[in-house]
Amino acid sequence: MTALLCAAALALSFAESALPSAAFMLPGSKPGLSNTAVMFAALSLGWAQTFMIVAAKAVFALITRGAAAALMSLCGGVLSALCMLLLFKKAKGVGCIGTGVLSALCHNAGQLAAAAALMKSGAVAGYAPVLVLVSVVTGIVTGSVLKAALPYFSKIIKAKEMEK
Amino acid sequence: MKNRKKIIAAVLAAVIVIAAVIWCVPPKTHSAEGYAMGSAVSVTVYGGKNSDEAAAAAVEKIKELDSVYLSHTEEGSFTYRLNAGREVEADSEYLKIIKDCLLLSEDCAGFSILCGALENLWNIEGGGYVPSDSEIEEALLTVDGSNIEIDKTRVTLKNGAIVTLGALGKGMACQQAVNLLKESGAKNGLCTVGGSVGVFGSPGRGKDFKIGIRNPFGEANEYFATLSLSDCFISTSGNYEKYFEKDSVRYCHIFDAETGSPVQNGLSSVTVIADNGTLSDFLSTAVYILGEGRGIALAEKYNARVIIVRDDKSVLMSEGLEDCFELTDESFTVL
Amino acid sequence: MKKLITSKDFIIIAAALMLGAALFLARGFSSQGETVVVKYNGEVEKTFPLNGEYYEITVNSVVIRRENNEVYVADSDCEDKTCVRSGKLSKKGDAAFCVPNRVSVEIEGKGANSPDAMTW
Repeated sequence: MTALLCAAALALSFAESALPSAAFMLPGSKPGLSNTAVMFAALSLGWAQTFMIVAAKAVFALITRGAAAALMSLCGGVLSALCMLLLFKKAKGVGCIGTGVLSALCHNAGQLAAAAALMKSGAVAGYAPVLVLVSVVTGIVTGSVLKAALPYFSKIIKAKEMEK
Repeated sequence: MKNRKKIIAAVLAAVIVIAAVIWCVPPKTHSAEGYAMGSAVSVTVYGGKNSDEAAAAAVEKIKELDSVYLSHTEEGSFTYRLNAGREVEADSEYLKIIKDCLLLSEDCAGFSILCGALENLWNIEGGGYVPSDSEIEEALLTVDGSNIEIDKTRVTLKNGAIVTLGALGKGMACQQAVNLLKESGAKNGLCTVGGSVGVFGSPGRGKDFKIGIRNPFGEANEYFATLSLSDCFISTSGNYEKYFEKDSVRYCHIFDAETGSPVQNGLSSVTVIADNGTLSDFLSTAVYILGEGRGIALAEKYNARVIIVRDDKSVLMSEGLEDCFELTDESFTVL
Repeated sequence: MKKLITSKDFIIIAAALMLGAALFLARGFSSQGETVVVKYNGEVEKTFPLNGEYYEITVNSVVIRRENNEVYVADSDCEDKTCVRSGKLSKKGDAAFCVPNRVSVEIEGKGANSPDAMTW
C-alpha cells in the first residue's frame, strides 16, 4: 500500500513538474497535488508510512532536480506531514480542507526555512506573503481532491486487507 | 450577551491591529535637493500635504539666501557688491544678517566675518601658502570688527576688509529653510546644507532624528557616533574639511582672527547643538577657535550643547548629552 | 469527517487569508529599496545601487539585470526558474532566489541604524 501511494505521489509530482510553469506565474508556487497522497497516508495509514512517502518524494526531487530541491522537499514534507498527522490524530472538527491549508502552509514554511539555510540569507522571507496566499489555494485544492478520492483509496485498502 | 462581548472584542482587536499598522508605517517622505554655498542642499518633509512643494520651496529659499545675500563669489549678491564696492545699499534683511553676525562675533575675539583677506592670503583652497609674519600683520589690520559700519540703509567697509559669511551661512540657511517649512504647515522635517543640519518633529513612529557625526579621521561619509535629536540645529567645524599640510603641519580653513593663522589647538572637530541654526554654526566655529575651556563656557551661555573630538580620538561632551549620544566607532574614547 | 468543509476549516482559511493579506500590506508599505545585494553561497558577491542605468551581471549562470531602477533575474540555467518568475524587485525586502545555483538577489533599504543625516 505504501509503495502504491509512493508511486502515486511521484506520479503527481512528475505531472506537476511537466505542467508549463507559465501557468503558475507566482514564484515557488506549485499546486502540491502529490501532497494528497501524503495526506491520505497520514489519514488512513500510520506515521511510518507517511514519512516514507515524504522520503520518497525527497529522493525523487534529488534525482530530478538536485540536492537543493531535495533538501527543500524534505524540510517542507516533514513539517507538513507532522502537521497533517497531528491534525488528523489529535484535532477534532478540522476537515480535509483545513488540514490541506495548514499543511500547505507548513510545507512552504519548511521549504522557506530550508532555502534560508541553503542561501544563508533571511531575505527569503520576502516570498512569504505570496506563499501564504498560494498555500490557501493549494490547500483547498489538495484537501478537496483528497476528499473526492477518499472513497476510492479506501476501497483499495479494504481490498488489500481482504487479500490477507 | 455573549455575542456582543465577542463582537466588542473583535472590533477592539481590529482597531488595535490597524492602529499598530498605521504607527509602524513610516510617513511618506518628500525630498528636494539642490546646490548652494558650495555644498549639497537637501530638504525632506515627512508626511503632510503639499510637502513636495514645501520642500522644493525651502531649497529655493536657501539658494536665494546664498545668491542674493551671503555669497562672496556670486556677482550681484549683497556681499559681493559690498566687497567689490566697499559699500552697499542694503535691504532690511541684509542689515539684520550683518548685525546678527557682528553681535555674535562680540562673544569670540578670534571670530570675525571679515576674514576674507586672511583666507586669500593663506589660499587654503588653492593649495595653501604659509605667509610671513609681516604679511599676516598686514592682513590682520583688515579683520577687526571696527572695519565694518552699518547705518540705517548702508553697510560700509574700511581698511581693505573683506566679508565672508561662510562660517554661519549654512546654519543660517538651515534656520530659514526650517522656518519656511513650519510656516507652510510641515510638522516633521529635515534640512541639511553641507554639514549643517536642522530638524523638527519626527521622521516617524515618534522617534528622534538620527544624526551621524563625521569621523574626523575617516572618509567623508564615515561617522564615529550618532545623535538622536529633534527640534534643534546641529553644526560641526573641523580641521579635516579644507586644509593643506606643509612640513607636517596641518593648516585648516578656520582662522583665529587674533593671531591671523589657522587654528591649531589639538581639536579635530567641534559639533554644536543649538536652538537656532545661525547660532549652532557660529558656535561650532567659535568653540573650535576658543578651545575646550573657554569654548564650552561660551556654548553654555547660549544653552547650546557641544561635542569636542580631540586629535587623540578622545571625545568630550556637554552634560546631558549622554542620553542621545551613541558611539559607533570603538576606536574613540568618551571622556 | 463527513462534511467536505467544516466550520474550523473556515476559521483556518480565514486566518490564513488574513495572515497573507497582512504580510502583503506590510510589504506594500515597505519603503523603496536603495541597494541590491547579490549573494553566492551566502557570501556577498556584488553590491550595487538600485537606481542607475542598464546594468547586467552574471553570477553562477544566473543573469541579473538592472533596468528602469528595478532589478530582476533575466535568465538562469536552473530547472524551476523560480528566480526568473520572482519578477521585478524594487522595494526593501524584495528578493529573488535561485536555490539550485545558490544565488540570491536581495534589495536592501537604508539600514535601520544608518543616520538620517550627517554633520561635518
